[in-house]
Amino acid sequence: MTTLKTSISVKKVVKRFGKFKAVKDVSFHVYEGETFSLLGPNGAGKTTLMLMISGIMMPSEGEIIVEGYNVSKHAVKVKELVGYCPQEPIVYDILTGEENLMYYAGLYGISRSEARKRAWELLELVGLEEWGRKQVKKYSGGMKKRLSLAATLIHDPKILLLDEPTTGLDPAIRREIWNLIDNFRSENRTVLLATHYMEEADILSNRVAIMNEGEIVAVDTPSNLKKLLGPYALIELEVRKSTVNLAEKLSKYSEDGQVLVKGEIFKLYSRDPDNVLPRIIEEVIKAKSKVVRVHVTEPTLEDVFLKLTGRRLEE
Amino acid sequence: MKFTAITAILIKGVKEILREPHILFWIIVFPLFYLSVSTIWIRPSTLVILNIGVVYEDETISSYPFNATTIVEIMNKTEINETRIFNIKVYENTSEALNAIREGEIDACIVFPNKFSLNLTMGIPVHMNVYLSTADIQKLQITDGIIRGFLSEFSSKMAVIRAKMAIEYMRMFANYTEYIPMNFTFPTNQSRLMELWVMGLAQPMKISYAKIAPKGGRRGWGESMGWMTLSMVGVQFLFAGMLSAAVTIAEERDKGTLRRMLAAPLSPWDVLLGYTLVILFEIVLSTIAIITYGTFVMHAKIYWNPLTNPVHIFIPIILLLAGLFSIGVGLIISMISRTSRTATLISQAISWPLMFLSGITYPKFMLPQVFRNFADVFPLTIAVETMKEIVVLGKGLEIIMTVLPYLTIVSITVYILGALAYRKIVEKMII
Repeated sequence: MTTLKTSISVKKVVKRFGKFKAVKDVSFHVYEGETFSLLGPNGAGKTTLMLMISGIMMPSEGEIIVEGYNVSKHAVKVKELVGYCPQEPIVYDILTGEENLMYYAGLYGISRSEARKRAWELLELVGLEEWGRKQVKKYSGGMKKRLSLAATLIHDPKILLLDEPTTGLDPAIRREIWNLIDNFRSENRTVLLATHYMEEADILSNRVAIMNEGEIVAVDTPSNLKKLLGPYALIELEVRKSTVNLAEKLSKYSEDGQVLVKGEIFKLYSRDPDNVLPRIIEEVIKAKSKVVRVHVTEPTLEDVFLKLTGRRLEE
Repeated sequence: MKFTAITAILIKGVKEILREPHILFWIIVFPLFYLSVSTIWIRPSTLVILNIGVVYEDETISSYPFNATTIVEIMNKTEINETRIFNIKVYENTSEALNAIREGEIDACIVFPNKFSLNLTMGIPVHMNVYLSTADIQKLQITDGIIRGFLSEFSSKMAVIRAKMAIEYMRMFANYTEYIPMNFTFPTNQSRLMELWVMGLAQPMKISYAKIAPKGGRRGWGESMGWMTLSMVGVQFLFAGMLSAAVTIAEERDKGTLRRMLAAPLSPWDVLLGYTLVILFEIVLSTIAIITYGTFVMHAKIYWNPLTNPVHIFIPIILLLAGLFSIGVGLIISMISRTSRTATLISQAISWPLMFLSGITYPKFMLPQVFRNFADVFPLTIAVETMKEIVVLGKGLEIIMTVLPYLTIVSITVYILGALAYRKIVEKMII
């Protein structure tokens, strides 16, 4: 039996800003070569956690061990091992792609000749070799993101911390970035990904930690997390003229007795949607409301998040 | 210190400067344009205050109540719009006062010769010597006019007083005139005195004027343009220095790249040193452009050669200190600004008034008193004035000795405060 080596270990970490607790007693570990996602809405504490793991910010309590180094004591060593890519593009428009990468190489103490060689290798890796000598202001948003990822790799880090790598990008470019991140996994790099895109976490991650309001509410593989919901389907109804007690009337058809209501949209989980659905519609009609739309889906991480936190990721 | 990292920051910053049209506009096009149009500027009508030296060679002062000091007292109280127009300084002897003119310390000097007070009391014509500085031809014109006007007015009033006194004497002695024989003549030893007394009624004061050139010679076009060229170098400390320091760090903070820089294994001080070098490069680039344009296009007379004058070695040191001061102020502005846009606005709100009111572009004597006092202690004004004195007016070590300790202490203190402010920015940012 092979033992998995821990790359990042987060133990009872708390981060306070004055009286506000941004991260609350968080613990988890990431294995070497694993892609691990922190999934949660904006303000969940993902970026704060990333900043602490990268050695930029220190925890108020608890400890973070990266490749055997305590971040609070050996921040410089940790920074050498970690490549951190913030949400915003980290490239300078006025410089060329090559110059941007050489600049970041300089920050890691890489010599000019070595930096140039490495820059072109990475430009090729991210598919920008033909753009390397052009100023970044001529690049598209996706190209800038790819260049940012290349800049993160400039010192060949063992661990990649990617904060919302595809936010604001269109679906086609998002897929390109996913392919790149997937390649990092094949290079046996440890990837810690912060995202609020359920699909991104689902596709890219070996394991996912669901974060909400500074806490980790669940950690597991995407498939195991979905099993938390059991073999249930999600029934989503959109109604017009809903009555005050409609949710209460529908709750008897829900497996867990709960109905999530947002405006005129009602959501409930059922083991047997084919049998239950006509009775639900009948109940709506009896309540003198009108069914506008009905949708039955298999559970996703979004549903897991909804079930665990009572809120949607986009909120 | 990670020198590779600092070099990387410097190279990146230099490339940004050389490729950003708006930076190049502010550090090169704007000062050259301003330098060109400065030749046709119109001076604002501010009150000119004259620095006047006074020398009492008169040994009869203490014997007479109405004496040379009475005239100086009146000068001291002379006001226009409730502002005293003479700033009087007493010198021990004439050569000391003339030296002060040559050094540019005073605009003119009035020498009261021996027996001035005696002659004044006796009512015979008194002599005065007035020496005028020719350093600035426009200032000479103003000084000459004001002193002539004052002394001429004073002389006229004295003539009236003396005439009234003569009439009074005539009335007192009218009864005795019948006793004066028709063939009366004054005794020989008294007749000359009577002649002088009569002359003294018509012309109480005889003033001789002389012009004294400053050490570096009269300030002509070359010197004036040299003065203006270095003024523009001073302006660049406000723009290339203060503004860049305030905005550069704030921009990196806004874009998120400062956070990314701090994710690299280098300290915040490495980043600060890198940016300090970038801004100093910007100042040097701008200074070279301004001086080259000023010298070769505007025919400014600027002489810098450390081999012939070792004091010139201090010029780069003064530039460095002024640069550090302006960067320090910029960093402090950056700390109080939430965004780079706010930093730009605050910097400009400070830089633009300072450009006109700190004595950098407009001569100090043209400024209101409160700004003159400010200019006397403002490090950038002191730096620019010192450079002007050395490379335009040819002054030596004496000027360095008086300003360098002050400039060093203030500039380094402000830079350290700026560095602490920057440290605070980093702390705030990573929170």
